[in-house]
Amino acid sequence: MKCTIRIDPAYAQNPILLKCTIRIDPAYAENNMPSYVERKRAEYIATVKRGTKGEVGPAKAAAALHGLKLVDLCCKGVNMPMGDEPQQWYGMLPPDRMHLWWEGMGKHVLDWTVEMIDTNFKNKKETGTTGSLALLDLILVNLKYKNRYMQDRSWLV
Amino acid sequence: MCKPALLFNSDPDSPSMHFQSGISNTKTIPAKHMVPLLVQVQVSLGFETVFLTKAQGKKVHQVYAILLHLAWQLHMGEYSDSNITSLMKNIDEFLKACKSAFKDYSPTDFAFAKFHNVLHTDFFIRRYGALWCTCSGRWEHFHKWMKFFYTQVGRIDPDMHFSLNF
Repeated sequence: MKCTIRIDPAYAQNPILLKCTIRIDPAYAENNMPSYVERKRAEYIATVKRGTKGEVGPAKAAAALHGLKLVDLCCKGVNMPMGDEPQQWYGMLPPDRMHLWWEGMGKHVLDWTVEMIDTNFKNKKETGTTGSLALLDLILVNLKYKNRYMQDRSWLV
Repeated sequence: MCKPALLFNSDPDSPSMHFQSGISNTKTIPAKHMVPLLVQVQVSLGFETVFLTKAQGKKVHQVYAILLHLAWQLHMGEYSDSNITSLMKNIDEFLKACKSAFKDYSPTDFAFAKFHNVLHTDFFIRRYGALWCTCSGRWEHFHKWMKFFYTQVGRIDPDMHFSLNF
């Protein structure tokens, strides 16, 4: 990497106050470093990922000032032909409710499984299964007790 | 043990069983318990024909496996085109697996909005970016996590919360 380091003579003798200026060769920067917009994009993504709720709003506004379209954010190399238009859901699921979809589908799957086990047990002569819902419940209680949930650290206290 | 409970819910596909282990409270189960619970149920079902027949077991395990994979794929921090393609393929497989495994157990024959909406996930990612960055769930989760750690640490030493780094 080509760069020039200039040490300020006023501070050269004092290592604590040493002050220098680093000037990167513009030709090198153009060919080898991410563009200004790309760096701002990376900064925005870092803020969205790790920042608090209060920091995300201002970061979005700043990103728009830097010429970043919000639709381009958090997607690498994805073609986004729709542009930055106002939100219209047309009765569909907004992305800010995606967690409700996943958790909700998990509950549906659990419910269908339970129904299936119950039906099997009621027709056990035909299905050949022996497990009832009470047995499933007992196994789950024991698993929960033995393993505990991943987030449950109350046993540390 | 297993009585229909949600009598006033208008959605015939809503979960309606009651258990002591928590699986019955599927309407109110905390979001952070969903992945552990799905894993535990899958382990409980096992590969023997205790709860399910051999044909049912294979299909049901496939549904759980894809659903758990989607838990990660839907919440990625950043997507590329190949990520979106893979996600949509898994969603398609998940819906087909559900229809195959539970075809006699959905009162509406899978004709409810939640089952369909996920097919537009690629639209949302291309339109608004990564789902996890716009999903309001993350704020709820983070808030609960912060409260949880604060209470856990605070019980030992009121000052120790200063050393927590997130």
